[in-house]
Amino acid sequence: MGLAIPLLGLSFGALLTASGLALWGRFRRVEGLALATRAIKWMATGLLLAAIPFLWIENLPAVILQLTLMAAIVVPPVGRRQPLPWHDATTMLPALVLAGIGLFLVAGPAQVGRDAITITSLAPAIYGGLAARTLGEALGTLASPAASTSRLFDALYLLLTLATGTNALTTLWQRGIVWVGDPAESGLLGAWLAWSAAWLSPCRRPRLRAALIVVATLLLVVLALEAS
Amino acid sequence: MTQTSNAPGRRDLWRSIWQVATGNGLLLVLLLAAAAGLLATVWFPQAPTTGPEAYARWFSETQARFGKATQAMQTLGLFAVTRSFGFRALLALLAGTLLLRLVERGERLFSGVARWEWRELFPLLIHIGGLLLLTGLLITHLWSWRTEGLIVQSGEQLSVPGTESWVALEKDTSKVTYSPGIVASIEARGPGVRVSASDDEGNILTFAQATEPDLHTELALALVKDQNFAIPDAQLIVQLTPQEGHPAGIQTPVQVQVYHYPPVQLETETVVQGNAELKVDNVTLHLVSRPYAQVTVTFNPGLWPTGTGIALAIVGLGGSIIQPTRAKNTRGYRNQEEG
Repeated sequence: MGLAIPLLGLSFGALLTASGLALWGRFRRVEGLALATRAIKWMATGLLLAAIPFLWIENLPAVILQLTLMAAIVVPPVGRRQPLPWHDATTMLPALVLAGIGLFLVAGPAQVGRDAITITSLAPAIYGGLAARTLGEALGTLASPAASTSRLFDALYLLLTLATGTNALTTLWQRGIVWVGDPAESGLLGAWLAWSAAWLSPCRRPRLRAALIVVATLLLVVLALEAS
Repeated sequence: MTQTSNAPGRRDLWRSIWQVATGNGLLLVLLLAAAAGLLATVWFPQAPTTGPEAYARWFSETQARFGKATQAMQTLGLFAVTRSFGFRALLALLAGTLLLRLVERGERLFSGVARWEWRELFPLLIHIGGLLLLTGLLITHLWSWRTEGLIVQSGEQLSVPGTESWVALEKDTSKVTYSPGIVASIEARGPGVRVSASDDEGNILTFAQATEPDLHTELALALVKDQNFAIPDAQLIVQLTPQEGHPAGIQTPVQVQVYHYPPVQLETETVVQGNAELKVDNVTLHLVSRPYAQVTVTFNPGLWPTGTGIALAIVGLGGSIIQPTRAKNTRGYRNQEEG
């Protein structure tokens, strides 16, 4: 057995610990807990990133590498330094699920195809990771509306608008019609419409906005995994 | 007396309707409904409209997946969501809402009620872009046509059936060129050959095909499927079969089987790739590689409105996100204060 599986296992353990500490901090005020949670999150990020080259070298299925990369994008605690009730634990939920599925696939009984990993096959995983990170933030906003991070939401909406628009223009230029009915294309457009609805929703209702963003980002994560 | 008491009430009713029609709430609901419709197409395979063969294949696959529920789902219109009356009505309603919002915002901006600033133009661009896009889609629906499955061989120029348009494939099959006004895209590529034959004395031999009454001295065959032809003067039948187990493409090897008749018996069998010469008795077969491309041709008069609409919407949305309008900013501050 190579190093990839132990590293994945350790990172999943670190994520569970960070989530547990964040939940504990919700009920008990302990000095330095927020700092410890941040440190463990950074450690989990490092372990996930360290696992990626070993997954590649050990020729493990591409989907596991993509799941690990997505989780590694979700975890880093960039931005807010003050912990908010429930927020920290919920923002890590997508990373936990992604890393957990990766660990289950690599260590569990399920057999997955060992298709080749290419740089281009990692692009959907990067987009999916960004969507999963925003999904975590949106879940955090649902749990704790005061934590609304509209700048991240707006940045990813802009990115999604550019991706959807460029895709539509390219299809129009190459094939003469804007929409060919491909499921991935419909999914992307559907996610963009849901996010546009979120963008239109009143700022005084951050939970409504967050719920719509959860729908859109969840769809983007599923699409990214399917494209992978 | 009655008139004076009713007039303000009626005015209020119209004002309320106007506010609902131009407000964010209605647009939000319409966008969500459109998103739900599109997401349904992701999970439910949509029925093809390209022909009975494709429909039969889709139907058998769908029935295998959904079983007895297929009929009920079909009745509900889940397999033709974007072609349904409901979805089209939704898009029409969306267009109407965008138009009303454009009028309202334009009127507010240009009548001097709101202070003029460049960033106030971005929401207008979004609305104009959206309207242009929907107009383009309507034009596409009404007047566009599409021809699928045209087979063009390299170096060949082909007329699109029933039109004056043409498509041509370059010799290396990398690029398809086409007449102005249409768009052609390559869907698939495969092997093909140009065949000629001569005897030992240098005489050119003729070919006969089951589907062609005339004899030809040269045949251009796209190997989409097996191809057969006879050389009557030499009493030979030739069968060309693209080899299975290889990735489909212009370099796919081709199996050549030559039969002698009567009675029909296999004379020789070989696999060729690219250009080749094959000698059978006193006949030499010259096979020159001439790959084919399967092309889809689209005529869409709504192309420019659609493209312009998308571009304007992207610019408008980008601008609105980077430079929010005063109204959006004010709402944001209020929210922060409340928080």
